[in-house]
Amino acid sequence: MEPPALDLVEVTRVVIWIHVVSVVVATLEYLRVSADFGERGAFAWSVFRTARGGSRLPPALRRIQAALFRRTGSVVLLAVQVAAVLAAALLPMRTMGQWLALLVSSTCLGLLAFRQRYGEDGADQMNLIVSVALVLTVGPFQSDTALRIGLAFIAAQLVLSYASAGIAKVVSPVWRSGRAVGLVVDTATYGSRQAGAVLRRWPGLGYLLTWAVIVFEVSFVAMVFLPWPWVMVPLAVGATFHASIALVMGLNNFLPAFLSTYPAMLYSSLLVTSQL
Amino acid sequence: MDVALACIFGAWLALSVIGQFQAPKTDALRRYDVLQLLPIWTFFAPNPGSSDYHVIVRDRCGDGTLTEWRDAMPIPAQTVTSWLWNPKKRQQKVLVDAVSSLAELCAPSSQRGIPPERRGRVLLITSPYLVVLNMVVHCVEHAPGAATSQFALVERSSFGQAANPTVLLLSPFHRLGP
Repeated sequence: MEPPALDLVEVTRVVIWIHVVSVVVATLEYLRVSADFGERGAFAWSVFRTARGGSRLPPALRRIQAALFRRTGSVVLLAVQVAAVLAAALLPMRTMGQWLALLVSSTCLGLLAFRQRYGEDGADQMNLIVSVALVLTVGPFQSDTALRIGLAFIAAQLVLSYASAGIAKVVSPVWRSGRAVGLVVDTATYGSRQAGAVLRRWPGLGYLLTWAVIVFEVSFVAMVFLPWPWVMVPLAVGATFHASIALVMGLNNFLPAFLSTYPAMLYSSLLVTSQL
Repeated sequence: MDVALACIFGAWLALSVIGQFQAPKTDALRRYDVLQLLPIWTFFAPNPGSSDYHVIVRDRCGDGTLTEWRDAMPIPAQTVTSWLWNPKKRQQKVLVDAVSSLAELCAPSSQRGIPPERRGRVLLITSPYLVVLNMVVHCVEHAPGAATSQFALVERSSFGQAANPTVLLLSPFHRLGP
């Protein structure tokens, strides 16, 4: 079967749209708990700054940080981030307006990553990586080659994420024993009493799921270079994997954050296999 | 321009690969990565995280009476919409990150060079300890008339395991602000 002819700009547009969904959800969640950015909140800057140089910084820099990262500054930062990333989705592709919107959004994501030494997760990291990659490649002054390099980089980070996670699991005795998924979903933090009870009742299912995760993550790097249409299989498995994590573990941001990289992965994979 | 871009992305990817290895040199590299552009992708591995962290608190009132220990920050249960909208996970993640950092600081390799009698005191001024203390002082409801508060970090195994909870850290009493 002939692979579809994917348009470079359209693929990038889909990456941007899914990325926008991911950033908007993550940012609105932060805004929902904005009280925690206050001095009596769980993310109080007066405390979090101790992980970022604290009182060793020059007074002028400390004042700028305080203005940016106390509650009001943080809320403004988050609001600007939502507005900028939405503008990036709505503005025409590869225009100066869209590039500036991506630049502002990326800067806000970077500042938030700096501020939140505690509380950020892999989905936030993927959002930041995709955002910076887009800023570096989706400008009106950039060539098609630059766009391809950006998509290839995003795809490579996706492959690295699964390979690294898979290898770390293969070398772990707990993961190899087949008990890991059952143990994780049996916690209150990343699971539920019901999900834990199901896997305790059917330990074979937990064993199967644990090894399915390991096999998927380790073999993803090879599977994404399968010829069309088989390349869709690892991507469909991956989407199901992230949807399951969102459903069972409540890690909802991973689904759009990782899905935003899939069009880049598909484009890069078809590009590579067409050369073989 | 494209060559320069390829070099930037190539270098970033190479550093990302190096950053996956846990080693003193990669830790040093990470200290300079204040924007967290170098990811750590080893999700739930090698330790799958098979236990919950709880902060339990007791207060000492002005007359010296002590309250019972209580779970100060119960872990919010997943709801039917958590797969889509889950803002409460952030506070829990702050706690998990802070406790993980505290565990690392308590490891013998991190305590090298610090006299044994000073180790507890040194811990009290570390960033993760201050994060937990701030949550205890400001995010927890205290007993009326409470003057000071003490907390303990407790690790509890999965729902299905009957093992007793383990106390990871017991704080001194801290004065509660006005």
